[in-house]
Amino acid sequence: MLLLPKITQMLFSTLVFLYAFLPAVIILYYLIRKEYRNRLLLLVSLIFFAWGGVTYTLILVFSLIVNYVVGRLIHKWQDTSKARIALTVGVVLNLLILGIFKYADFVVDNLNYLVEMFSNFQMGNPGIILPLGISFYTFQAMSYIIDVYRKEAEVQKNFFKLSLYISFFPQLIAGPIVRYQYIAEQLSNRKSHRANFTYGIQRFVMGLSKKVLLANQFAIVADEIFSISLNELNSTTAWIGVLAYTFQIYFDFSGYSDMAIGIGRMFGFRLPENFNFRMFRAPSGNFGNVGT
Amino acid sequence: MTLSVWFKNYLYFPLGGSRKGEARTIINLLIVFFATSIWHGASWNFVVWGMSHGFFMMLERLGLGKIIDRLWRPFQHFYALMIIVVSRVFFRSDSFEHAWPFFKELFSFNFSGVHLAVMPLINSGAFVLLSVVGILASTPIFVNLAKFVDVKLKEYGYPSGLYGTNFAHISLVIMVFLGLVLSSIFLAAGSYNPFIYFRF
Repeated sequence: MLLLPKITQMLFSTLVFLYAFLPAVIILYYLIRKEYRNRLLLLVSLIFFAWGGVTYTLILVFSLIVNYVVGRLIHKWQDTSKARIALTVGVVLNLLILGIFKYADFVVDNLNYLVEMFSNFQMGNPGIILPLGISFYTFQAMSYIIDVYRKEAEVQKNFFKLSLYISFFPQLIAGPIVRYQYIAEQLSNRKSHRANFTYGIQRFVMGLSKKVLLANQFAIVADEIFSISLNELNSTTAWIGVLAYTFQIYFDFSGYSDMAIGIGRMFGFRLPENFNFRMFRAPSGNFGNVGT
Repeated sequence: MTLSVWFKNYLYFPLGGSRKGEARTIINLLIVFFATSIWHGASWNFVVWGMSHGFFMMLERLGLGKIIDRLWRPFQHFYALMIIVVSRVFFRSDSFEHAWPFFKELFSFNFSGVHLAVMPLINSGAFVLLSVVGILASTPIFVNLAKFVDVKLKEYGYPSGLYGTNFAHISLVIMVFLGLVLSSIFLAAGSYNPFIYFRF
């Protein structure tokens, strides 16, 4: 582990990912036999996660086990009241994971704020660091158990396949969130031919360029303006700031989506499109979709 | 599936969606907007951002939507863009104490010169180029242009395909190559590379 550079997360737009991690995974993937490829991708996804801290991976693995077991139980108890109990437990556990790691600090801060009005008592802040991608994989896992309960998705009895669905590394940073039934067939049977691979590279580079050449450059201006002290700000500067930030977030997010879809395609996966020039297409009634 | 589809499927519909009358529909929409907001990060700023969208969604349901639908299309876009752009102040700021004065400044109509710290960043050919490319790339114009040129070339009798004139294809390959080289240079030079999903 000595060789690892000091970064907390391995992002797509880093040289380590571009020229070491991704090529290594691709080469290994196409060298080994087909039946081991899913396991390789799962292993690699867990390593991708562990980059931010091994605890992150432990939380993920806990989530994988919970959702696998809950899925199996819902299937086993289908059409009985027990299935509903299993689903409820599953949803509560998922929300609990998210609640602890994402909202605990926030809740404590707000409670402290309320308590402050009546007494001097203050709770200590748990100081939890948000694990990378937790919102994405939790939501994806929840959609799976709910869809199994609703019989919109088949149960997955293979732990590794379900785990790959929940933790596939391209989607973990900024989505897309994929429904299980959309990708179920591809987990067992996907074609990786040259056209797919070429398209994957094109799509990935397009996303990388959006991120590095556009989003990051708008970010320089946006971040500068959002760090100016407020009494020095005027309308002209503030408008340039929000516009630059809007462009930054638009290209950052659409870039990440492109990169995720592109990497998926290199391994023969077709992830759903979740971005389609929404920023300028949506007239009234639809703008709420912009962002994620 | 986008996040909004997730919430529609697993929250809005189970709540009854729009089948339980107008009042209940609006409440359901506001619940969904609240959940979507707080999903983006544990902070009230995200709630202000998301609920401002929810607020206009509510107004649209209550009649504003019909008025907007009758407007000239560019005005419709302008309306949507205003809400998107302006509410981003709350999405971007670290605290409400920073966001609120910033937000008010947008509408104080104090259009004096650009702040001195920002001037060198935007007063350059590079930033003009970035802005032009940025605006064009947020529309399908590049894709449509390449397709248009392809169709025109075919009309004039140039064969398309791998060994013929395939403008869209060739320009794509060149762009991918340039994109990779340029991005790599930028990254190797250690240019600014922020990560913005750390609160998701």
